[in-house]
Amino acid sequence: MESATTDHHKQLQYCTTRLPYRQGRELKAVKVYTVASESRYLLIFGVPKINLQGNLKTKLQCFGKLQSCACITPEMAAKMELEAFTDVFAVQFERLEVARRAKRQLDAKQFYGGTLHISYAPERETLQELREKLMKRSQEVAHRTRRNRTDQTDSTPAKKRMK
Amino acid sequence: MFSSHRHLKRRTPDQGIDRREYIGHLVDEYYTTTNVEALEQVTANLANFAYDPINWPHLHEAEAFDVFIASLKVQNQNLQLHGIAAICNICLDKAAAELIREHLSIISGLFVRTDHPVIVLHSLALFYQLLNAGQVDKELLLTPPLLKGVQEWRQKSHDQRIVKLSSLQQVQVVKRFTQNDLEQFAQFTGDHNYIHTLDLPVEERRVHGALLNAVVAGIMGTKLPGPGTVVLEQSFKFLKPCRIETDTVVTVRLLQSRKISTAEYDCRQNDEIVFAGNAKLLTRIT
Repeated sequence: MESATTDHHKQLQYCTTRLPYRQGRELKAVKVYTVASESRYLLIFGVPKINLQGNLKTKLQCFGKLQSCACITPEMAAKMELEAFTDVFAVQFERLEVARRAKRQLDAKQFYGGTLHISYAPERETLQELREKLMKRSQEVAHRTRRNRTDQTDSTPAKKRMK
Repeated sequence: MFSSHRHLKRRTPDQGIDRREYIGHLVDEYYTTTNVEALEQVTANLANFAYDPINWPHLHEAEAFDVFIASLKVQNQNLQLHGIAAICNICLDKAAAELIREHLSIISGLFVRTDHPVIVLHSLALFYQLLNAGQVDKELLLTPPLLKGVQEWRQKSHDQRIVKLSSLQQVQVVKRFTQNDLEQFAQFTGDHNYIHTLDLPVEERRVHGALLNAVVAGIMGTKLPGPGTVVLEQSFKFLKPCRIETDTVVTVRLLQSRKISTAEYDCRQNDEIVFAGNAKLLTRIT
C-alpha cells in the first residue's frame, strides 16, 4: 500500500514514441492530471544554490499574487534525491490559474544556469483549501460549459480543414 | 487547462485535423493498436482532454467513455490509472454521470482492490465530486467495503494527498433517544438528575449532555477517524435541550488530518443545533 510520498515530484522522461499525428510541437511525458493533481502550491526544483530566492520571487510575481516562497531544501533532501548544488522552493499562489500558468511557462526552462523542474504540491493544502479547490472546479466547469455553448451559437461552427 | 473555440481554431494548422477528429483518431487507435506504450499514450491523452468541458461533446461522440471503462478492466496499472483519471475529469458532465452510475460497480471495485496510490487519489476525488453534485445515490456508492477502504487509506497512508481526500466526507448518524436509554445511562453513571427523569413532562425532559458527547465519541472511534483514535482535548457547548423521541442528526467532520487531527461535530434536532464542539484527536499510533 505504501509508496514514497514524493513520487509525484520525480521528473518523468519525455515520450518520444508518439505516432506523428499526435506528436505535438513540444515533447511531453505521459502523465494524467485531474483536480486532485493540481494545486495553488508548487514545488520548484533545480534552482542553483546561489542565493536566488529574491530573483525567483520576482520572476514568480510576474504571473500573479504570490502568497509565499520558501526554501525547503533541507526538508526535501531527507525525502528524495536532489540535483547537486540546487535548492528546492515551496511556493504558494493566491489563485490556481496563476499557479497553472507559472508551471506551464517555467517548467524545464533555464534559470541562472540551472533547469527548473516544477510540480504541483497538493499535499501542502489544508482540508479547507482542498474543499474550496473541489468547489471551484465545479464552478469553473459550469462557467466553461455555458461559455462554450454561447461561443458556438455566436460563430460559425469549425470546419474540417483537410485539403 | 481550458480552451475556447477561438483558441482551438487558431491552434489547428491549415493542413491539420480539428479537435473532434483528433479525439476520434485517438479512440480508433485504442481499439486497433497492439502496442502497449501506444495504448498508455492515447488513454493519457484522452484523460487529459476529459479535463476540459469543450471536449466533452467530442468524447461522447467518439464513445470515449467505453475506452475509459475498458481501461479499468485490464491488468495494466497505467491504463487503469488513465481510465480512472479520465472518469474523474469528466464526472461533472450529466451524460457522463449517467454512464458512471451504470458502471459504478466496476469503478468502486477497482478502488477497493487496488494498491496503487495515485489510482486511489483520483478515485477519491471522483467519489467526492459525485456525492457533492448529487449525481450518485449515497447508499449505492458508499458500500461497506468502499468505506472500509477509505478508512484504511486514511489511517495507513503517508501520502498527505490521500489522507486529506479521504478525510473530506463528513459522517452523519441519526439517533433517536428513548426514556429507556436515559434510565440506563443514569443507572450506569449515577446521574439521577431529575431533569432526565419521568419527574418532568416529556417536553421539558432532556437527554444527558454526556450521553450526546458519548455518541459523538462513538462515531469518532468507529467511523471518522476510526478505530485507534484517542481524544486528547475537547470543548463543547450545549445550546439547546436535546429531547427524547426525536430524530437527532449527529455530524462529525475533520478539520485537519495529521498525527494530531482536529474535528468538529454537532447534534441537530429539527434543524436546530442542540450540541456542538470540536476536539483534538490522536490518530496515528505507529
